[in-house]
Amino acid sequence: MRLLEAAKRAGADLRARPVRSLMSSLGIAIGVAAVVAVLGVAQTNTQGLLNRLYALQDVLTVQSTGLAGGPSGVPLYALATVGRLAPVEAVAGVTQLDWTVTRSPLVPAGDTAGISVLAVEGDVPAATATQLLVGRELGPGDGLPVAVLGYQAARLLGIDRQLLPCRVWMDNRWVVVTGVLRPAPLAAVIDYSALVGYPFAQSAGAGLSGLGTMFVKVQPGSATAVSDIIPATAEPLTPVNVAVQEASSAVAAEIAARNSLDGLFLALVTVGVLVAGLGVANTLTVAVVEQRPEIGLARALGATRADIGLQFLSGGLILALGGALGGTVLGALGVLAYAWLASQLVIIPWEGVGAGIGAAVLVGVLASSYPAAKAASLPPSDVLRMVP
Amino acid sequence: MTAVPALELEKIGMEFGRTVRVRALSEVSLSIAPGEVCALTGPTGSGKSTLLAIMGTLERPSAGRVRVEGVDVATARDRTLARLRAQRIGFVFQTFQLHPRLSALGNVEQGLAYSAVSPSERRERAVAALADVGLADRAEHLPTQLSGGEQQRVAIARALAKEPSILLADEPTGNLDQAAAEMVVDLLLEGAGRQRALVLVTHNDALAGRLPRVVRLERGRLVADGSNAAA
Repeated sequence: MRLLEAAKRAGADLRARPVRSLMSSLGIAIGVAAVVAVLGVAQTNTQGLLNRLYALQDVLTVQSTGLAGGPSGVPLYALATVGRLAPVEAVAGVTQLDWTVTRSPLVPAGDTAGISVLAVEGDVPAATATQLLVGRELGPGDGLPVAVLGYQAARLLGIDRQLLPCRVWMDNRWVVVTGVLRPAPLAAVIDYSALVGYPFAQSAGAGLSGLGTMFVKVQPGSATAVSDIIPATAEPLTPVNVAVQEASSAVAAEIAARNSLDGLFLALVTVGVLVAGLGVANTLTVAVVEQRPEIGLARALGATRADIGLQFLSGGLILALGGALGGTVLGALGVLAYAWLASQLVIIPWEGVGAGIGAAVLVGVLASSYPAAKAASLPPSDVLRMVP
Repeated sequence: MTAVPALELEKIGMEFGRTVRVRALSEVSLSIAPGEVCALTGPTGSGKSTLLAIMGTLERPSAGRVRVEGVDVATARDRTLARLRAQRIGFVFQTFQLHPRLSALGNVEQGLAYSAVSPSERRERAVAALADVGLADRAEHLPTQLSGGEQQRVAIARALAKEPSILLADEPTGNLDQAAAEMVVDLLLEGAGRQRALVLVTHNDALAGRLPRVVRLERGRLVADGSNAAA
């Protein structure tokens, strides 16, 4: 009851100074909104990445270890033997060539913009869980001088859908670009490469012996089982020469990297909330000075020190809670907007909301404790000396 | 059986200041009986308001002993003194001390905010007190919408609404014209008597002359304490 009365009086005092109260609350609101938004966007992103991870975890990367010696790379026939395994949906092999690709022969030979040339065999988009963005894929066993560009390679070469088909200068000959792939999150090497057919590469004297990397797309839930039998299937005589990696580890690392940045940002936000708490403390300290007559009057009318202290504590709590609730709404709206723009599932971080409100209450109590103690210590005789 | 005095002061001394000590009161002894009406007079700076603050438990004296209805102020806890002020002592100040953002009714209700009175009874008693001072029709007006005399009548209603046993008025007519001052004094005298003691601080000799007992302070010392035959 006393708390309710004190809160009513504190509310009336704050309403009497609306702009100052609003500005104090705004500091807390921005802090809490940032907490909710950062956590919400992080969780929305993480969920999006996890969804990608779930979609991509069925892609296996197969490479040669060279432990048992023999020819380098995964044998070409592995595409056929692995492709016959029941849970396997698609396979593709890629081998990096020492070719360069530029827009014209006039570009200096060393100016490759980091773009590689890959000889590919099999259905690369299906095996790497990506798709064709525009144009035409390489045909089966394509022996023509045609190429498909990875997403970043096309950007670096300045080739977009309006220019297709177009020519690029590859290893001292013109090659026609017929298509561009969407980003391949599992295979950065494909993103930054020009892909040509294995037959064409061989006919052009590339001297291929085995596959540099083989991508295997398997049915959901069968990645582990298939990865166990791939070495013996791909290279029955020396299975130790074959290493299989699940692509999910790369995405998990990406999530971890993003979460570590979120932690840093949250630390900055915490500092921001503490600074906002200083704003609340400042507002209430000024209020104590301004309200000395009212405080003296309340004491003359029978208020105890505790009544006065409680009133100022309530004021701090009202400012902090008001800010926290406003900040929660702002933050949630921010998350909604982000999720809508990024076409992702909305996730409101309830633990972040709870933490934000809890932190705001704590900051409110801490910020108002000094002004409350100061107000409570004012002598009641101030009422005789001050003119309101 | 002797009744417990409403106010009992024994050799009260009061000093202010830390580096430079200023003596405001010295060896003041005084007893006010329940229902007694008394004027406290003296020139400016004689210590009248300080003595009133001590009587009202707003200040603790530097020396001597004060008892308010038998309660020793020196040893009483803050909560006990606050309860005395909430239930037993009513104040009327020279500058009215009304809350500028509360209506006349709100100000009178505020006087009961810290006593053990329910909100509904608080409202009832505030309305009655405002009617007693003739301001029933100004209940919703803010202090800035009232004249000085009306504001002081609201302050008197605030003091009387809690039905105190001691009424302390510090220069209640100091900011008022003659007519308003007369009305305010009439109200205070009506409110006093029987079991309600009144101590009225004034440097107006004519006003002091209307009260049955006059106590005079000069330079912090009690120099006269006598009955007033004309009252």
